[in-house]
Amino acid sequence: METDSASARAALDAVRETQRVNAERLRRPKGYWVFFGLMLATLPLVRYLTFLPEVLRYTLPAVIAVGIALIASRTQPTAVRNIRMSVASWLQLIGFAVIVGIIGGAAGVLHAEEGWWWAPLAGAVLLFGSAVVVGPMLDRAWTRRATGAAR
Amino acid sequence: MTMGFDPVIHPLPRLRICALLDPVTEEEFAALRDLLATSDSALSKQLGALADAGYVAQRRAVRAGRSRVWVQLTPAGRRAFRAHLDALDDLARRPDRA
Repeated sequence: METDSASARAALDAVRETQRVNAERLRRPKGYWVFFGLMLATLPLVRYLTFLPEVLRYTLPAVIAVGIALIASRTQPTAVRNIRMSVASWLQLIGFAVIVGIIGGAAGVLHAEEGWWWAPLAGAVLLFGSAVVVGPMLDRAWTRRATGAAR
Repeated sequence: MTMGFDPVIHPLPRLRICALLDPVTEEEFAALRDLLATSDSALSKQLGALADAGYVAQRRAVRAGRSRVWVQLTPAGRRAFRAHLDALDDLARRPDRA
C-alpha cells in the first residue's frame, strides 16, 4: 500500500510541474522586451529634437512611446496582466525604474551642461540594452516567485 | 491528519487548478481547461467542489462580443492551498512506513 509520504511526494511533484509550466506560460516573449526597450530609448533622444517647435518636441516622443507601448502590450500573453506581484517584485520594478531615470537624467544633463552630443544616444543604447537584458531576467524572477516555482 | 491538510484541495486536478490560479488574480475558464487538458464538464465539476468550499469564485464577463467565464482563488482558497502545500511538504519529509 502506498505510504502517506509517497503520496504526498507524488502530489507535490504534480504541483511543481504545474507551477513550472505556469511560470513559462506567464513569461513575456522576447519581442515584448525589444518594444519596451525601444520605448525607453525614445526618452533621452528627445534632446535631439530642439529644431522642432516646442509643442512637437514633447508630444512627438510621447506619441511614439505610447504607440510602441501599445504594440508591446499586444505581444504579451493576456494572463501576464493578471499576475499577482509580491512586495519583492514591486521593489525590483521600482529599482529598475530608478536606474532608467538615472540613465535618462544623466544623458540629458551631460548633453545640456557638458555639450556631449553623444550622451543622449549613449543613454538610448544603454536603456534599450538594459530593457532587453535585465527585463527578461526580472520577468523570470517575478513569474518564478509568483507561481511558487522558485520554492 | 496533518494540520493544514485539506481533503477538498487534495485531489490532483484540484491541486493543479489551485496551482494555476494562485499566481494570478483570475484566469479564464477556457485557458484553465486547455492548460489542464481536460473537458469543460470535468473542469466544471472540480471547480464546483472548490466553489462549494468557498475556495474559488467565478464571474461571467463579455469581451469582444464573447461571453467568458473568469475563475479566481478566494483569499480563503489561497490560504487553504498554501497550508495544504505545507502539510504535503511535512508529510513528504516523514520517513516511509511500508
